[in-house]
Amino acid sequence: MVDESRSDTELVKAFQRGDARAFDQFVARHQSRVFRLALVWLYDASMAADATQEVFLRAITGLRTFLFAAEPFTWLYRTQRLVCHEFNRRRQHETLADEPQSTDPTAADTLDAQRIATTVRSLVADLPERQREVVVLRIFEALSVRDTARAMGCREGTVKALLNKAKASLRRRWEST
Amino acid sequence: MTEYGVSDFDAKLAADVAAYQSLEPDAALAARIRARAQQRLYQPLAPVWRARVGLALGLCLVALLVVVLEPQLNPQAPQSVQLPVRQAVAVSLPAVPSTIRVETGRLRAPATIPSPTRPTSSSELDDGIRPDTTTHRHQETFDAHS
Repeated sequence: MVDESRSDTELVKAFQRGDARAFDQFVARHQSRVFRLALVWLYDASMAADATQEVFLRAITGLRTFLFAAEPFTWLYRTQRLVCHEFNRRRQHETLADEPQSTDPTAADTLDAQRIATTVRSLVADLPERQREVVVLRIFEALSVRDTARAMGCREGTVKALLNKAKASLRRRWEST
Repeated sequence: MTEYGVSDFDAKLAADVAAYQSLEPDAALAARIRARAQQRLYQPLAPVWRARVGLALGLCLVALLVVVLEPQLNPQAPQSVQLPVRQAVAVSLPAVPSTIRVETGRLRAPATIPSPTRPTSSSELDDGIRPDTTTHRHQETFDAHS
């Protein structure tokens, strides 16, 4: 059950005062979003689950000393990107060394999640990285322009411009197929 | 275009977005995160922090030992440090002018020696200045040559 009565900032401040339940609420509020984003970046449901867990474990130490220079979700998103990069690097390493590991094919949910992730990835695959990020955050995650700009560390005008370019590219590609 | 005026592209995008937003992590994931979080929350200190705190305490202890034991280990050290260099210079300075004056007088002496051609007057002898016998000898040599 996600408690929406308190903002992220209030939850993190309560957590810093030692309220462990506030951290549980913070996790419950953001775990789906972090998992979906990890799924798009990692393209693997079990790795996305591991990455989500790692993000929140880092949040325990990171948010204890958080100074609120940015929104807590911005911090969480950037940490999530960092963790996904690390997982991708590690996977490339492992793939070179060992046989590639496939996920459990019997898990229907896992397959479904990967199918959706594949759809999203194929949709944004040809876009430049910044446009891809804007499409995922602004369209798929339905973040506001302001929150998208904060998460990406740029101005709101930049987000709008990138989104317009990305949409035009996607539309052109859709019409050409 | 669809019958509602929405382009096929927009409809497809909306369907993809809906499918994407329906994605939820496995229920076990939330429980797993909570369990690991609790474990870490109630862990007194992470191993890295334990090492850092140990190192800091060790350095403090070493610094304290140096401050406390240093005078006992090297008792001469404070005396040698207390010798002020400026004071030593001030003591030696007054001796400098008298030494220079004496040296200057001796250096000027050859300049006041009368020239060999000038005869030594009696008044100079009365002043108590002894006539230089070397000069007289030189005078005689000069006279012999001329």
